[in-house]
Amino acid sequence: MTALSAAFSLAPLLPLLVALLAAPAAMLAGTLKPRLAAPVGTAFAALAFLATAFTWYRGGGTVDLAWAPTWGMRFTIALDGLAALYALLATGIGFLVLAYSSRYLPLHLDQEGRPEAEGARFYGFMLLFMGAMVGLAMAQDLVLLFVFWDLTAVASYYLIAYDRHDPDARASALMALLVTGITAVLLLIGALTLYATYGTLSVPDLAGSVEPGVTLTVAGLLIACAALAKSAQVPFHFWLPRAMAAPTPVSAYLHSAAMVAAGVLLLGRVYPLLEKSQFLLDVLLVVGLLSISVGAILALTRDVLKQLLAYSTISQYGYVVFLYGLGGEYGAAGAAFYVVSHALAKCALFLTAGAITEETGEDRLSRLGGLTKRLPLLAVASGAAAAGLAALPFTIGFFKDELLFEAALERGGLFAALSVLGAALTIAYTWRFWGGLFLGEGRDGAGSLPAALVWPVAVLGGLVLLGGLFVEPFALLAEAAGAASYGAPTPIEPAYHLDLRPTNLMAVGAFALGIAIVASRPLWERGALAVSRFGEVLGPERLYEWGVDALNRLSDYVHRAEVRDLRSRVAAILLPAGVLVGAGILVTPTVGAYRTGEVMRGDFPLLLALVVVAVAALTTTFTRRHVTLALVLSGAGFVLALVYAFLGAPEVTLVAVLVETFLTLLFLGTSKLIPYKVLHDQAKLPLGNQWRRVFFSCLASLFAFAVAWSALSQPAAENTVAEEHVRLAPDAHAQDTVSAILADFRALDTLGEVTVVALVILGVATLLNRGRLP
Amino acid sequence: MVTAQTFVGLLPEIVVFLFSMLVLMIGVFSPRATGLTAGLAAFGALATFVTAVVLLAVGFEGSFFGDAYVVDGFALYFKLIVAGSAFFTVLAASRWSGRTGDAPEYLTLILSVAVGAMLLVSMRDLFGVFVAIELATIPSYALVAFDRTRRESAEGGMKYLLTGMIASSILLYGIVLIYGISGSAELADISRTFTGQLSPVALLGMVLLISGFAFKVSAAPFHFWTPDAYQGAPTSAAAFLSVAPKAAIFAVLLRIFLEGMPEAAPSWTAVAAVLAIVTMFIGNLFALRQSNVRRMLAYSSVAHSGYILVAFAALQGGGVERGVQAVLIYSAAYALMNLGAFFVIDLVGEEAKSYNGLFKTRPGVALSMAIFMAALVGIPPLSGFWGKAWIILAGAQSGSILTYVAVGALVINSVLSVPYYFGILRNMAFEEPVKGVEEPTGTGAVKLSVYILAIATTLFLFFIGPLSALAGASGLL
Repeated sequence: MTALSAAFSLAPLLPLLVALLAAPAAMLAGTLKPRLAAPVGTAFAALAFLATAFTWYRGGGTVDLAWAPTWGMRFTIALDGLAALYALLATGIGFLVLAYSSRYLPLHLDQEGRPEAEGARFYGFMLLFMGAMVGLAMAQDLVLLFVFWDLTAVASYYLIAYDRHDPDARASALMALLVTGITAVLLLIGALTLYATYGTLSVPDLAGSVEPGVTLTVAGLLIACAALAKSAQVPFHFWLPRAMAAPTPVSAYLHSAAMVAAGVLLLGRVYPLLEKSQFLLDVLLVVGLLSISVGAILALTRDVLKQLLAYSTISQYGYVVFLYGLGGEYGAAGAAFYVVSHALAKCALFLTAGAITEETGEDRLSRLGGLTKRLPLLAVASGAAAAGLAALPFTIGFFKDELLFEAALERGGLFAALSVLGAALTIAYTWRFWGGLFLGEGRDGAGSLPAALVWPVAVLGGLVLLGGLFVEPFALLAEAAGAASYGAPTPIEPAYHLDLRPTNLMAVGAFALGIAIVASRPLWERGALAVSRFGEVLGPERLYEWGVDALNRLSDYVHRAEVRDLRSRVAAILLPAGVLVGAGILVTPTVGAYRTGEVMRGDFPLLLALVVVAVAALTTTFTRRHVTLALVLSGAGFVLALVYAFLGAPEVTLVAVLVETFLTLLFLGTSKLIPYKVLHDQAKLPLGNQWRRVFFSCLASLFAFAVAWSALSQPAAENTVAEEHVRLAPDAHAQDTVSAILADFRALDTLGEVTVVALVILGVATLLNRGRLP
Repeated sequence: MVTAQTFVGLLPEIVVFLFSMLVLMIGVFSPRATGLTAGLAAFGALATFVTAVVLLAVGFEGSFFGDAYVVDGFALYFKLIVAGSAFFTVLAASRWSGRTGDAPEYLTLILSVAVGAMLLVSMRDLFGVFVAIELATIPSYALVAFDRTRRESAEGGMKYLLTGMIASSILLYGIVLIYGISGSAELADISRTFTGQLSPVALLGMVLLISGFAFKVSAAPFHFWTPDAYQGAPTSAAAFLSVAPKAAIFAVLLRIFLEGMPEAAPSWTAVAAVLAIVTMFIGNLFALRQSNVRRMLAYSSVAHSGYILVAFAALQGGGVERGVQAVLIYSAAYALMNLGAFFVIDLVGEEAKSYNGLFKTRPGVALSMAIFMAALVGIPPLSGFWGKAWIILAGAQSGSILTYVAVGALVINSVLSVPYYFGILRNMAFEEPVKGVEEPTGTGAVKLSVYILAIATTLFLFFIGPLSALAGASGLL
C-alpha cells in the first residue's frame, strides 16, 4: 500500500524520466546500428509527448525530493500549467522535427560527404535538448532550473556546431555558448542573492515571501538578463542569426520550442517575483519594444531565408516579453498563448525553408520564387503557417494578436498604436517570405521532395488552421500557464466577434498598414538597410568580438610575462611575501609596537660580532668564486653562533657550530666533485640586471628587519609551554629538558621528523639515480 | 597518555605507513616483483580508505597527544579524499612505474605523501602541522623529479625543491612568531592570543603563515612552481599532487583559521579574498593560451585553488557554515574531476592535437574527458558545479563587500575558463583525427580509473547527501 502510494506520488516525474531517457536510448540504438537512432529517437519523443499529456490530464502534481536535507537542500519538480505548456511544445514539436530529420539528416550528411553513423550524435543531442527543456519547464527550484538551463546551452553548442568542418558554425556555437553561458551565471547569482535574503530557492516559496526592494530589483534584473539573452532579445540578440549555421531542423527546434523559448519560459516562471517591481516590468516593456522593432526591420532587409526567419523570431519573442511587461491577466496568459501560436507557425516555416533548400539548392530569396507549381502541398501548408504568423483570421495567430491588442489597450493608447505597427511589420516580412518563395515567375516541373520533409509542415499548418477554428484547447492550456505565472485565474476567452470592438478595428488597421508597407517597399528599403548597416558597425556583436579579441591579447601578454628562470622564481616568492608583510605592517597601529632599548657597555662584543656578520653577508654579494662564497657564509654562521653564546644559549651555540662545520665540509666536498672548469666558467657568466637584484635583496632584508624588530619589541608570552616543559622534565625521568621534549612531550613530532629524514634520504637516493640515464 | 584509543585514532596512517614500508622492502629484496608491489600499494590505499570509512561509521572521535592530534568527522572526511586519490593514483601508476623498473620507490613515495597529508588534517599543533606538511612535500620533490626519461622532470623537481624550501622557511618563520607571541603552538592556546586588536607580531606571524600556505596550495603569486612541477612530474604523480596534499593543506588551513584564529577573521578573510582574486585571474589567463594539456591543467589547478580560497574569504558573517561545506564539497569534487583529467593524459597524450577526433577514434575516453572538462568549467549537474554553487552561496551570505567582489571574480573566471576547457572538447568532437602525434602510455588500469572517476563525476549530485551527513558531524561546524 505504502509502496504503491509512494509510486503514485512520484507519477509527475514520468514525463521528465521519459524525456531524459530518450537521449541515451537514441545514442545506444545509434551505436548498435546507425539507422536505428532516428526511429528510436522519434518514438521516444512521441512517448514523452504522450507521457506529458497523460500526466497533465491526470491533474499534474508536485514531487518534492529531499536531496541534502542536513544542508537544507531540496529538489522540487512540478507539472503545472506553465510546465505542461512548454513540455508539450518541446516534446510535440520535438517529435515532428525529429520525424523531419529522419529524412533530412541523411540528405544533409550525404551532401557533406559524412558517414551516416554521425547521425546518432545529432539525435542524442536533440533529445538531450528535449529532456533539458522538459526539466526546465518542470523545475520549481532556481538551482535545479539553472542545471537544466545550462544543459540546454551545452546541447545547443553541439547542435549549432554540428557541421564541424565549418569554422563559421563553430564560431557561432561558441558565441551562443558564451552569450547564454555568461548570462546564465547572472541567473545563478540572482537566485543566490534571493537565497541569501529569503533563505529559499523554491520559486513558489519566494513568490510568497519577496518584498519589493533593492534586493528584488537587482536579483530580478539579473534573472531577467539571463532570460532575455536566451530569448535573443536586444541587446543580446546577435547570437541568434549567427546560430543559423546549424542544420535546419536544429534551427526550427531552437526557435519554436527549445533554446529561445526557454528564455520566456523563465520569465513566465519567475513572473510572480518580477511583477512585484514596476521597474522590472518597465524594463521588459522597453526591451520587448526594441526587439520587436529591431527584429522586424532587420527581417525586412535579409535575403537569406533562415536569416529572415531568425530576425522574425527576435521580433516575435519581443511580443512575448512585451506582453509580460504589460502585465495583468492578459499579459501573463496572452504571453503563453503567443508562445504556442508562434511555435507552431515558426517551426513550419523553418522546415519549409529547409525543404526548399534541399529541393533547389538555393537559400536566398532573390534566387527563389514561383515554387507553387512544383511544391503545391508545401505551399499550402506553409501558407497556413505564414497566415498564422501574420495573424490572419481563421488561424490561431488571429487570437494571439487579439490578446496582444487587448493587453496593450489596457495600458494605454500609445502602446495600442505601437502594437498595431508591430503587427503590420509582421505581416510585411511574412508576406516577403512566403510570397517571395511561392509566387512570381518560376521553373516548371514536378518537385521531388520526400514525404517526410512535407508532412511535418502539413501537420503544423493544419494545427495552425485548427487553432483558428477550435481555439478552446489552446486557450485552456494558455490559461493554465497564465494562472501558474500570475497566481490567479487568467480567463482570456479568445473568440471571433463580428462587431466594431477596438481589437477588431486594430486588427483591420494592422492588415491595412501591413499591405501599405509591402506596397511601399521602394520608399523605406534604403532606410531599413541603413539601420542594418548601422547595427553591423556599432551593434553589440562588435562589443562581443572586441571582448574576445582583447581577452586573447591579454592572455598572450600574461603568457609572455611568465618567468621561467630559477632566480626569478625565488624572487616571485619573496616579493609577494614582502608585499603581504608590508601590508600587514601598514594596517596595524605602529605606536608602541616598535621600541628601542639602550646599548650597554657590555653589549659591545655582541655589536662587534653582529658587524662581522653584516660584513660577511655584504661580502657574499661581491665575490663570485664558489669556494670563497662558502667560506664567507660559514664565517658568518660561526660568528652568529658566537652571538648565541653571548645571549646565554650554549646548547644552541653548540648545535650551530656543528651544523656550520658540517655544511661547510659538505659544500667543499661537493665542489671538489664538480670539475673545476665548470665552476670557473659558471662564475664568469654575466649577471643580468644588477639593480633589480639589489632592489629585491633590500626589500627582503627590510621586511626581515621589520619582522624581527616588531617581534623583539613585543613582550614574550608570560606563560610559555617551555616553562612547563622544564618543570615536568624530571617527572619524565629525563636527564635534561631537551631529551624530555624530544622523547616525551613532543614525541609525535619527533616521530614525524624521523620519518621526514628517512624520506629525505630516500628522495636524495632517487634523485641521485636520475644521473644514470637508462 | 598513549592508549589503545590512540592507536585506533592513528589506524589509517599506520595502515598506509606499514604498506608503504612493505612495498619498499619488497622492492629492495625482490626487485622483479613489480606486480606484487603495485598490488600491495593499491591494496594498502584501499585498506586505508576502508579504515577511515569504518572509523567514520562507528563515529570514532577523540584527541590525542595532549590535544595536538584530533580525529573528528572533518579530519576523517579529508583522510577519505587522500586515501581515495592515493588508491586511484597507485592504480594508474602501477603500469608506468613497473616499466621503468623502480616501481617500489615510486609507490612508496606516493604512499608517504598520503601519510603526511593524512596526519596533516588531524594536526592541532602548529609544529605538528609543519612536520606533517614537510612529510607530504619532501617525497613530492622526489616524485616530480622521478621521470628519468624526460629533462623537464629533473628541471621541475629542482625548481620545486629550491622554491619549496624557501616557502617552508617562510612558513616556519610565521609559526615561530605565532609561537613566540602565544607561548604555545596549540590552536586552543593561539586562539587566546588572536583576540581583539592584533599586535604587529601576531599579524606578521599570520601573514607569513599564510604566505607559506599560499605557496603550498599554489595560490598566485606564489604559484610559479606549479606548471613546471606538474609538467615535469610523471602524470600520475602530478594528478596526485594536485589533489591530495592540496586538499589536506586547505583542510588544515581551515582548522588553523577557525580553531586558532576565529577572532582574527576580518584579517585573514581579507587576505584570502585578495589572494583568491589574483589566483583565479592568473590561473585562467595563463591557461587560456596553453597548447599543452598538462600545462593547461597545471594552471587550471592554480585557478581552482583560487576558487577554494573564495570559500575561505566567505568564512565570516552568515557564510561560515556554508563556507566550510564549500571547502568539503569542492575538495571531493575537484579530486574526482582533476584526477580523471590528468589520467586521460596518460591515455591520449599531452599535446592538444592528440585529442583531435577522439570522439570518433576512442569514444569512451573522449566522453570521459568531456565530462571532466565540463565538470572543471562547472557545468551542472557535474561535480564541479556543486562546489562552485556552494562557494557562491557561502559568499552571498558572508556580508562582506570584499567577498562579494571575490565571488564576482569567481563568476567572471568561470566564464574565462570556458574557452580552454571547451577547446579540448572542440578538438575531440570537431577536428579530424591526426595520426601518430603521441604514443599513449597508459593502459587497462588507467582506463578503468578514468571510467570510474567519470561516472563518479557525473553522479556527484547523489553523493552530496551522504557527504553532507558525513561531514555534518565535523568538529568545525
